[in-house]
Amino acid sequence: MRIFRVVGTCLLSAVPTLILATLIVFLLQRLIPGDPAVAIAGDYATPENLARIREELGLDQPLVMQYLSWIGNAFTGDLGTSFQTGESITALVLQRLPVTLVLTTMALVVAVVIGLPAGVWAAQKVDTPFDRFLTTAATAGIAIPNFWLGMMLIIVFALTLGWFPGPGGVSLQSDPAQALRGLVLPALALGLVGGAEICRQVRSAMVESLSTDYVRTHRAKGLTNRSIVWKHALKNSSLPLATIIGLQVSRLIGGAVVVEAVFGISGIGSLAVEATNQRDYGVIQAVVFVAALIVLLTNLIVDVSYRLLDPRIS
Amino acid sequence: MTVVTTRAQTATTRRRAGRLSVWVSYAILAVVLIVVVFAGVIAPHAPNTQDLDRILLPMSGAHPLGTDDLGRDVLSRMLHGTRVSVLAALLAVAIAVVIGLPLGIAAGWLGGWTDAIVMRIVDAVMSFPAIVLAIGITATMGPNIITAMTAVGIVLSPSILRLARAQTMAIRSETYIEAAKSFGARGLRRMVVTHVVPNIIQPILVQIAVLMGFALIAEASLSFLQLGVQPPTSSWGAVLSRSYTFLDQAPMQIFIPGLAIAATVFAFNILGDEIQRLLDPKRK
Repeated sequence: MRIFRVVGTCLLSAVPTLILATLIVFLLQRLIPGDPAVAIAGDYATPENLARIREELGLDQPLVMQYLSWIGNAFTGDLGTSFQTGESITALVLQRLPVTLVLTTMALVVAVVIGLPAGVWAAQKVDTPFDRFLTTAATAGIAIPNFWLGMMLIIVFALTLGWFPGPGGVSLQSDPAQALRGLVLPALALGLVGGAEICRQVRSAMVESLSTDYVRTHRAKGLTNRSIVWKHALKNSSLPLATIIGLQVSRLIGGAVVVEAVFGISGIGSLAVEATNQRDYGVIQAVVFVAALIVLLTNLIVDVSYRLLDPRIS
Repeated sequence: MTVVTTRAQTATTRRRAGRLSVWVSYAILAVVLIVVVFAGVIAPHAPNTQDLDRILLPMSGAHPLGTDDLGRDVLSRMLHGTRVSVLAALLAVAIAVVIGLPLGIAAGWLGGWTDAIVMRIVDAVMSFPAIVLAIGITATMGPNIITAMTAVGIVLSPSILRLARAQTMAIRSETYIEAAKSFGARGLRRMVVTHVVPNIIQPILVQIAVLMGFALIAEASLSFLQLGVQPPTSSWGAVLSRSYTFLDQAPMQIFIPGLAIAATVFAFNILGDEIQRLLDPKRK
C-alpha cells in the first residue's frame, strides 16, 4: 500500500514541472523568427500551402488554445505530422527511439560498472597516491568530449583492429545481434565519460559514509572491511547514488545525440539533426519533448526510490 | 617512527602530485589565453585561405598539422578556432551568470512565492537534457554561434541559480545580516550589493570555472553537428567536424582539436577544484 501512496505523491509533485516543461517545448516553435508557416514551407510556398500549415499549427487561434490543443494531442500520442515527409511524427519517433534507449541503457551499465567500483575503491584509499591518481584520471575523463572519444574508439577498434563495426550500424529491427555489436563502441564512448563522473561523486559520498561513527562501530565489532564497505557504507550512500545515476540518464541522452551522429546511428538524436537540416520544426519539438519525458520519468523513479530507501523523507 | 615518516612522505607525494596537475592546468590556460589574444600573429597562414592543389596534406614543416579538404592550414584554423571556441564559451557562461545570479539571489532572499515559482521553472528547464534543449533552441532560431551559445547559456543558468539561491538562503539568517538590518540597512538592492554578492561570489567563481569546461564541450558538440559556428569560421568543434568527414584519408587531424578541448576542459575543472581549495576556510 505504501508504494502506491509514495508513487502517487511523487506523481503529483511532478505535475507542475511537467506542465512547465511542456510549455517550454510548445514555446520552442514560437521562437521561429518571422512567420512560422513561411519558415516551415520556405520562401516560395504557395498561399494555399501557407494557409494549410497555419491551420494545422492552429496559428490563427489564441496562444492558450494552441497550447491546450498541442498538449492534448501530445498526451494522446499525436505529435503532429512532419511537414517535410508527411509522415506521422509519433511514428518517426517510435521508430527511432528504441535504439537510443538501448544505447543509453548500455552506456549507463558501462558507467556504473566502471564508476561505482572505482569510486568505492578510491574512497577506501583516500588521500593516498592511488586515490590521487584515480581522482585525477576521473577529472581527465570528465574533460574528454564523448563524441571525440567515440572517434578514437572507431580508429582503434573498428578501423585498425576490426573488432567492432565502424560508423553506419545495422537497424535494431532487422538484425538485433549485429546492431547490439555496433552499439558497443558508442556505449563505451558515452559510458566511460559517465563512469568518470560517477567515480568522483561516489568517492565523495563514500568518503563521508566511511568516516561516520557507525562504520567505526562496525570496525570495532570486527566486521570485515568488505562487509563494511559494500554492505553498510554503500547502503548508506544509496541516496546520493540514486541522484548520481538519475543525473547520468539526462547526460547520457544528451550525449547520445552527438554520439549517434558520429556513429551514424538512426536514433532520436540523428532524427533531431536531420530535422534541423530540413527545418522540420515539428520533429525537433517532438524530440525535445520525448527527451524531457524520459528525464522526468527517470526523476520520478529516483524520487520514488528516495522515499522507499529512506522512510524519513515525507 | 617509520609509520610517521611513511605517512609524511605520502602526504608530500600527494601534495606534489596535486600541485603538478594545478601547475599543468595553469600552463594550459596560459597558453590558451596567449593564443586567444595573439592568434592572428601566431598563425602561420590565414585560416580561410584555400589551396585546392594542396588538400589533405599530412603534417609537414609548411603545415605542421596538415591541410584540410579545401587546402586550408589546419594549425592556423585551430589557432583562430581557439579564439572563437573560448569566446563562445565565455559568452554562454556570461549569459548563465546574468540570468542565474540575480534570479537565484532574488529566490533565496525573498523566499515564498518568488522562490516557489523560480524553482519550478528551474526544475522544468533541468528536466531537459542540456544539449537537447540547446539543439532545440538553436535549430528553431537558426543555427549560428551566437544563438547556439545563448541557448547553452540558458540551459546552464539553473546551476548558477541554484547555487546562488542556496548561498543566499544560508546567509539570509546570519547574524551580520540581522545586525545590518538593525542598523537601518534597507532595500533589496542595497542589501544584495553590500552584503549578499560579496559573500556568495566565491562558490560562484568555482561554478564558473566548471561551467567554462561544460560550455567548451557544448560549443564543440553543437559546431560538430553544424549548429554552432558556420563555414568558413573556424572553431575546435568545426575543425573536428571537418576532420571527421575525412577520417579515412587524414586520421591524424582529429587528434589535435580533441586534445585541445580535453586539455582546456581539464584545466578549467582543476582550476575550479583549486579555487575551492584556496577558499576553503578549513585550509591551513
